[in-house]
Order: sequence, then structure tokens, then C-alpha cells
Amino acid sequence: MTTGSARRDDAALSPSPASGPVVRGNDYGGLTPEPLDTWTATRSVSVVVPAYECQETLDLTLASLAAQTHSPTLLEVVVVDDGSRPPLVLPELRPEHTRLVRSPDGGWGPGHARHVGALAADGEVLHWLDSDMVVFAEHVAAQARWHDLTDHLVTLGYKRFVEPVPMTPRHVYDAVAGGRADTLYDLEASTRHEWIEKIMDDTEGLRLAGPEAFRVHVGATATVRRDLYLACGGMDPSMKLAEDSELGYRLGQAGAVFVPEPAARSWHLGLSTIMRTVGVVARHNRPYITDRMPVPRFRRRVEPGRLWTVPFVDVQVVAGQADYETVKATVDSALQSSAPDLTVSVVGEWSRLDDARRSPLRDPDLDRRLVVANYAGDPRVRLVDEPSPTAFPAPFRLHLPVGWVMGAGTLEHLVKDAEERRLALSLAALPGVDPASAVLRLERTASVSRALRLLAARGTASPDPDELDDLLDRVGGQRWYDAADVGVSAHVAGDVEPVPVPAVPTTAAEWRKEALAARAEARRWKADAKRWKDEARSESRRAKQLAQQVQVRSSLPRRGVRALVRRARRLTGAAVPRRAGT
Amino acid sequence: MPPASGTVCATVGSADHAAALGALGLRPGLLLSLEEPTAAPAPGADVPAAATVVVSAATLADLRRVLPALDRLGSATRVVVLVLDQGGDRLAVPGQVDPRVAVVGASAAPLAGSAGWRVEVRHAGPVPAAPVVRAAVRGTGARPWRSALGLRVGLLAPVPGDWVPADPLARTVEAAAGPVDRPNVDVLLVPADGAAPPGAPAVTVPAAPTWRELATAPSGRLRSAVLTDERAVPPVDDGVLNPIGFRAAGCAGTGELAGACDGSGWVVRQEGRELRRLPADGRVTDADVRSLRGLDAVDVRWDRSAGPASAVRVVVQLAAAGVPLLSGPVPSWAVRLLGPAVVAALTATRWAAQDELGREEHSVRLRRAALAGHSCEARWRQLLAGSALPVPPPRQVSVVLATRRPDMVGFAVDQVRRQRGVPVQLVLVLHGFSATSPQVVDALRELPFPHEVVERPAQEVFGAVLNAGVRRCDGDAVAKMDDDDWYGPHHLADLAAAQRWSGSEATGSAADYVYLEPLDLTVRRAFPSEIYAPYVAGGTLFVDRQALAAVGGFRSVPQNVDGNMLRDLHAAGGRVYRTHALGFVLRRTAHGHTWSADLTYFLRGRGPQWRGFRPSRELDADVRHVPARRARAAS
Repeated sequence: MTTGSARRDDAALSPSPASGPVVRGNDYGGLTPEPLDTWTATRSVSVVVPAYECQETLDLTLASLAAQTHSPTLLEVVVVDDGSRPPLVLPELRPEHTRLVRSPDGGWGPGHARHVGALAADGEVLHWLDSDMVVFAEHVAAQARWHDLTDHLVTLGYKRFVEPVPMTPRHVYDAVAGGRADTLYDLEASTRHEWIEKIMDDTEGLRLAGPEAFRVHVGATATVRRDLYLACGGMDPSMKLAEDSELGYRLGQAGAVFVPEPAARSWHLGLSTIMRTVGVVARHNRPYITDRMPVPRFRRRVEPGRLWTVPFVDVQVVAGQADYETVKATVDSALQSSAPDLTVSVVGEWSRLDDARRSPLRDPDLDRRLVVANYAGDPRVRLVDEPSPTAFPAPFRLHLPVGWVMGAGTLEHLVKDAEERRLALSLAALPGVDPASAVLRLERTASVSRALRLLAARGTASPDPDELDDLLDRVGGQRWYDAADVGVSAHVAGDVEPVPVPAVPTTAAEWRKEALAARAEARRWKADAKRWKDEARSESRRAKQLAQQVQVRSSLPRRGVRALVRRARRLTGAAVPRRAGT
Repeated sequence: MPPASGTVCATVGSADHAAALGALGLRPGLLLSLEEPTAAPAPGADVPAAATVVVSAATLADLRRVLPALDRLGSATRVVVLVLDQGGDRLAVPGQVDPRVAVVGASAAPLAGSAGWRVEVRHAGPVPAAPVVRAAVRGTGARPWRSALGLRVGLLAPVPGDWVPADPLARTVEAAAGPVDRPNVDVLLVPADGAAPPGAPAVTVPAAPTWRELATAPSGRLRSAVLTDERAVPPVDDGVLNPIGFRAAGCAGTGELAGACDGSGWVVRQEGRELRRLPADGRVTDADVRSLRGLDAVDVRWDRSAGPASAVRVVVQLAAAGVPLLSGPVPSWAVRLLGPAVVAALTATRWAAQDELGREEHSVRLRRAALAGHSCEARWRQLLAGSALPVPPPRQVSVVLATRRPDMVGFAVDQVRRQRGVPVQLVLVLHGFSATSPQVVDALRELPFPHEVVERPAQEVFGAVLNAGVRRCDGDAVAKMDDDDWYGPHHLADLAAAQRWSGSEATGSAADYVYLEPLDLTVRRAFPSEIYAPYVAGGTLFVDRQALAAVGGFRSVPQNVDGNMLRDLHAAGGRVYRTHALGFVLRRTAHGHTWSADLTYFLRGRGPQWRGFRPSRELDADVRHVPARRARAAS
């Protein structure tokens, strides 16, 4: 049991007053940013560049930033030296407002450095950029303009990975300023951020990606309003890798819409960490990510029955004046759910309970004390004084009215449908009850956060529940169920012990289905792996053939062949499917 | 000259007739085509009688359009009718055609290895082949079969039978044959350039413009003189080209209707692949429609292939069949031939991909416009307008509206009042209260159609109450409407049309849309539509008055009155057709605002749900009838 109502989500619910139109899921198609040639910046942007022992590339990054089309008076660059030895220095060729901040003693890592930079930044918009990137002239402007449309967008820039070629900052500056940034490196020989761009291609640029759009948030290059960043709690400095993915998850739960911007082009010098050492990185990141990100669910499926820092569902039970047995029946029904990855927040006047002398049996607070005693040792039960507006950072909140018990399969049933249909809100009408007074509700945190931001922007301090549900219907969609159909029933007084159910009471048929799905997944993986291998093999064969032809017909340009061979080698080296999304 | 024992084969429509005949072991001594409309006897086929006459049609649509020209086939002892691609929903063996000649053998069977069928009748001696073929066409169940408002039509050759599909009384007439045989011909349809022989009133088919005329006519007034209206286009045979078989879900891809590159007609393409070729004369068959049912939509390109009338004909036939056609601006030469309603429906807003509802709504509007302007009935009304010939009035619909609730009378009568496109009679049956109630008096004020009020005692069972209403009905059809459900303005007109082209005794819709008042929620339960089905929602029941009388009306029971009636109708050999459900919303209320178990049924389906009252656009709900959102107590 944990006590206290304050969690770090509270900040997520104090949005700034400038919200915009309603975006359904991640379909930002209704938002149209101003064309780049007519757009003028009105918001300040802070480019945050964490840097560690990379003076040479940092100089190029800053040179390209100095050549931005974005208004220089509204552009600030915060370089955070993450403890380089010797310390980094700012080169001469840099944007006018450039600051060098050093990571405070003790903290380290890119996530920590970014957070330090974000706190030091003055801009309304934060722009994450790495110190090994060279950006095109309109890179900042192309992303920044989106933030004029609404306050809960995260934009993502595009990058091509290239082998660095020695060049001077002046050369970079001239090319970028002259609109020739595309000539700096060999586009043919560069690679795209494969798994991310595949998602982009498959989802019409994330428009169809739905609640999982956040998965492509892998740091540089991306922008977000500073207040949304702070509201979702900011980078987790304790994470040394994958901190950007984890931030993306929380931004998603805070209601963010993820918008890729193809006009924000850049060169990434060298391969990304994950491209070089995919297996090792995945092994490192998995425990961190699994513990903090309950979705996508497949990561936790293989570890059933575990407890995690961020639960998949937070069940909220408002105890009110209900007696101990009733509260217990309701809470226990949630704890016995076949989807055990949950916490139960029981709302009541717990902090009022003191240890002053009392008559143990005639205590007016007796029922409340019994609840406290009953769940003292259960880490899944939290006793809170105030209901929290959302389950942030958990992706789902189930409102279970006290006096009602849910079945072992209730949650799984509702969540499955909510995921399949991408619902914001699932409702179950309770027999004999006016639906206007009590219903069972499953809410998607990301949708509720977004709806609350929109309501706050309208100046609605305490939203009418109908108004909130109207918005939830628009940001995601809603669906009604019948309580009995999803296994919810009224608690019968005197029925102290709920009917025992197996911990994971899926039926044989459901197990079979699960096994089939797993097998199908495995088949897909194998097919992927095979395709990659085949591709790599044929590429290397083609390269060899070409190389032989070159020996015969030396008139062929050597450079093209080298590029092909390089590409083939990379493909052979990368012949492992990258599905985990890390 | 074939021997008397020979086989005469007549073919119509494009198919491999020789192969089909060969497969059945039929070796024609004489093969002739029925495509050229003429009353002239087939050479050598009339005297002496052939042993066998075979009529082989590519599709049912082809067979239906050649009935007037069949007399030339003469007599035979054995008549075989083949339809090579399936058509009609039933197969019936024709009976004796001449009371003096006995039938010695008759069979009806599907063709092996294809979707077609074969009907064969043997008489003891020679009988005329034509009546046997006409009886076979009637036996398919496809309706209507009197296509020209009940008039006996003479078609002056070369006017084709397309103007009177499936009509057993229509005849092709030769100008050279002298005066028209008056008692057998009420009206003569004359080609634009033909001279009508004396003997019967004549109606001229306006000439459709040709490309040359359109191209050479100067713009402005002269050009508009070249353009004619719908009457230049042969009518749609709605007995076979109708929405039956329209699929509301699971369609993929958009096709494109364009002129064939070689100028030989029309082609429906999808991503460069040719799906279907349509002939230059613009005749679409039921088989063509079936082959296009899987498409989301067909984009009309308005190419200048074939002739203008041919282009318009293809479009209105596909539209009448419910194929969702899309079009940009309609070219000026097609506007008057299509008629304003079809033009408006064609160019209406496009729907988003995967918006099955938007697609269905579009299809419903388009087919309604196409059938209203181009069905046989519509065309004959247009042709006969201004002539002295008697034109029967449109079929009247009597609405039986029984209610126990004085408070609902105003709402319910409004649902009837808003009906369009069909003459209505209202029979309001008050179940337990008086016609003098102020709500009743208010509701009936200034009603623009005839009405009757019937009072029945509260204790009478519902079936008897309905029968009391039915007894006061004058219309050709009886429609039952409920007092608290919502109806779109085309509800009755759509059901009346569906009854006509489906040939069924009863039609109706499924209760697809349901508004659950306690949840302020609209649900849709995707039931299949545009099919023959045993049941329809009671509030949408639309039944032929004579068929209703034939089964003894509604049973005197308190519940499931509609279900019982439909079962009786079925047992008596009648058919029930279920058309689209977009113009009807069932209302479900709860007592005292609490959720009750009898409503759970409506939340079980996997179909879509909408917050609030969200009917189809087809319902076109009146703001006064939209339920007010419940003031929700803070939870």
C-alpha cells in the first residue's frame, strides 16, 4: 500500500491556455501549418544540444544552426556539456544566442543533460538536437511553425545517416545558408532511419498510428512546447539510454499529438547507437522500458504476474460512505482480475485517521480503519484522499463504482476492445442504475489528458462530465457495454468473500488463441529475418558482380561501386529484424 | 427450309450460345438472332411447326427485352428456354399454354457447370413457342412484368423491346403490315423517323442527339434544341437492374467507367485491369451488375465513346442497380438526358475511404433518383404525359398507425406528414382513447392527405386493433408505422419502390438503427439488407393489401403480430424483401431512467455506436423531433 494523492501527473493537468482544434487519435490531418515561405516566427525556440566529447561535430552542428531561416532573435541554442574532458567550448561560428551549460556534478548522461538544458532554456518551444547532426536551413522553422496550431504537438524531423567526411564549419555554414545542404554528403550512400520511416510509410505519416504514435519518439530531432515537456515530468535523468522513448511515452499519455515533418531535413554523422549494436542495445533497454512503459503490451506478456513501476491500469474506487465489506468486495474483485498488471486507488478520507485513543469497536471511522488494515501489505493498493483526474502515467484508468464487483475477465475484455477500436472511453451501464449517476468507465489516459487540455483552453475550470465525454468521443471514440455482458455485477451484502477465481482464469480456448497469436508472431519474425537475410545476400551478390564488372570495364565510376559495396555490407551487418521498437 | 422435325434456335445477348447448346445436345437446324426487332416470321420456322424451339439468352435481362418479338418463332412441340448467366431468384415450371394441347413433360433445372438455368416444356402437339417463353420469364420471380402502366403496347419496328421489358402483352408491329390491330394495341411506340400506321394512338420516341449533331450545332439556343430529355433514353428494366444484391460492407477499390479504346462500347476498369465490357448500345445486364458488386465505387469518365444516349443509358442503369457511381461535373450534353435529380445525386459529396455508411447513403440516393426518372413506370408516364390515353394514378399507400399514447400522436402523425413521393392515406387507430383528445385534434389539423380515425377499446388485443385499421385502408399497399420511431421522408416511397422491383408481397427494413434513450446513444446493428429475408422490423412493415387480405390479416394476438403475419405470408407462397434501413430509427426508452436488462440486447453487437442521436443522413431528422439530451446529474 502506498499513501498520498500527489503523483507527478498533477502537473500534466495544468495546461497553458492556448489549445487548438481537436485531433482524433493521432490524425493531425485537420491541422495545416503555414507554408514555410510565408510563415514568420512569433514563438521563441530553444535548441537543446547535449554534447559529450564531440567538439568537432558540435562545431558543424552549430554552424548549421547559425544558418537557419528561423528568426535569429527568436532562436536560442543551449549546449549542455555532459562532462567532457577537456570541457567543450563554443566555436566562433554559431547562432547569436548560444549558451554553454555544464551538467551539474553528479548527474550525467544524455537524458540528464537534455533535462538540464530544458530547465535552462528560455524558449517557448524546445527543440532536441544531437551534437552529431547537421541540419538544413529550414530545419528549425519547419518544425516550430506547427506549434502555432495547438499546444500539445510533438514534431519529429527527418534524418539521413552518413559516414562523416572531414569538412570545416565554414563549409557547412556556406552550404546550409546557400540552400545547398543536400550537397554536403552523398545522399545515395546515406541510409534512412529504417524502422521509423517504415512506420511513417505504413501509417500515412503517423496519421493512422493511433495511440501508439509515441513509439517513434526517439529524441533528436524533435520539438515540443516547453510547458507540455514540464507537465509530463520531463526526461528521466536516471535512464542512460532510451530516455527519449520513455519521454515519448509520457508525452503521449499527456495527450501529445506526434507530427513528422519531412521538410525538417538533417544529416546524422555516423550510425546511431542502436544501428551499430542493435542486439546489445535492445538487451540493455528492455528492462528499463518494460518497467516504465506498459504499452505496447507485448513486452510484459512474457512476464505475467509481475508488478511494475508504471501499471497498465489504475482502478479507481471511491469508497465514500460504503462499509468495509462493500469496499473490500469491490477492491478485491479488481485485484483478482485476470489482467493483474494494475493498481487500485481507493479514494477516501484516509489522512483524517490518527492514532488518538478511541474505542476500537465503536469508532465512527471503524470501516475506514479496517480498509487501511486490510490493504496495509498490498503494494497494488493505494489509499488516496483525492481522486486524480487521470491515471497518468498509466495508460488506462478504470472507474469501478463501489458496491459493484467486476469479473476476472472484465478488464481484459474492455481493454482488448478499447485497443482494437482505439477507444478513448468505454462505458458499461449498470442494471437498475440511472446511467447519469453511476457507470463503469474505462478511460484512456492519453485521451483524457488531451480532452482536459482542450477544456482548460476553453476556460472550463470544472468540466461538466457530459462536456468531457463529448470531447473524449471526438479525440478517440466511445463505446457502451452492458455490465452483465462484461462480467460486472452488484455486490450482494453479506457476501463477504467474492467467488474465488483463478489468478489467470483464461479459458482453454483463450489460451489456445493466445498460443496461435504467438506462433503467428513468431512466423512473422522468422519471415522478416529471412527477408532481410535474402536482401542482404542479393545485395552483396550484386555488389560483387558489379565489382567484377568494374574490373573488366574500368570506365565505370568507382565511387558508385564503393557506395554499393558499403550499402551491401551494412545490410549484411544489419540482417537482424528490429521489431522491438527500441 | 428445315425439316419439320428440326430444331430452331433463337439467341439473344452476347454469350457463347453454340457451346451452351452443344453441351445440352441441341443441334440447331436453324439459328437466328432475336436482336433485330421484327415481327416477320423466322424463315421457315412458322410452317410447318418445328419439333423444338430453343431460346437461348445470355442473361435474364436479355430474355426480358425480346418478349415482343417472339411471335415470329412459330410453333413447336418442345420449347426450351436457356438463361446462361443466373437470373431471377426462383425457377418455376411454366404450365399449359393451350387448353387444347396437353403438357406431356416439363422441367426446370440449373445448368450444369454454370450459374444459368434451363426450362423445358413438351406438349402433345405443336403450340406457339412465345407464350411458353413468356411464362418462363414470369416464373423467374423478377418483376414487374407489366411494364407500360398496364397498356398493351405495339412497338413499331425497329423500336426494340427494351421499352417494355418482360411485358407479355407487348408486340412488335411492322409498318408494312397495314393498320394496327386495335384491340390488341392500346398505344403504338414509333421511332423518331418512323411514320405511324393508322389504327392506334402513337407516341414517338424522341431522337437522341448524336455526337455529330452536338458538335455541329452552334452553342446557345440551337444547341439546346438538339438536346432532349430523359425520354430519348430507353427505360431501366428495374425488374432485373435493381439494388437486390447490393453489398453494404466489405467492398474494395474504385473502378472507372470509360469508353473502350477501340470505340466498341464501354469498359469498367480497375487499376488498368478490365473488369467488364459493356456494349455500345448501352445495354447493361444483371450479370454486368453482379460483376461490379464488389467495387467501392465506379468513377464515371464521360468519354465520348459510343453515343450520348448510350452513355446516359449505362449510367442510369448502373445507378438504378445501386452501383455507387461518382462523377465530376456532368457534361452539358448529358444533363437533360439524365434529368436534374440524377445529376444532383451523381455529383453529390464523395465519401471517405472505408466510410461504408457514406457509400450506402450515396447509393440509396442515386438509385432513388435513377429509378424515379428512368424506371419503366416513370418513362411511360413521361411518354404518355400530354397524350389522351388514360394514365393510371400512382399506387396509394395506406398507413396504419395504432397508438395507446395520446402524447405520441403528434410526433407519429408528423412522421407520416413528412413522407414524400407517394400518395398517402392515414388510418390512425386510437387504442383506448378518443378522437376528441386535444392531441389528436391538433395532430390532424391541416393534414394534406386523406385520413381516417378509428377508436378501439383499450382491452382489445393489438392484432385486432390493427385489423380494424386495415379494414379502413383504401390504398394498394398497407404500411404499418409505430408511434415513437423516426422515419425518413423517403421511407414509404422507398418501400413502395422496393416492393415493385423485388416483386415481393411484403417489404420492410431491419431495425438497424436504434436510439437508446437512457444512454443518449445511437447504435447500428449491421443486419444484411437488399435481400429476400423472412423478417423485417414491425415498424417498417409494408404489405400488398390483397396479399394481406389473402392471409386473413393480422392474427388476433397481443404480441408478435408482425412476425406471425410474415410467417403466414411465407407459408402462403409470398415473399418478403428487406431493403435498406437508413430511413428508420427504432426508439428504446427505459422506465424511470434506470438501465434495464431488456435493453442489453442492443449493446451486444459489434456494430458502430454514436454518442447522441445520430441517424443516417437519409433520415433527415426534423429538429423538432430530435431527442433533447438528458440533463445528466453530476456523477
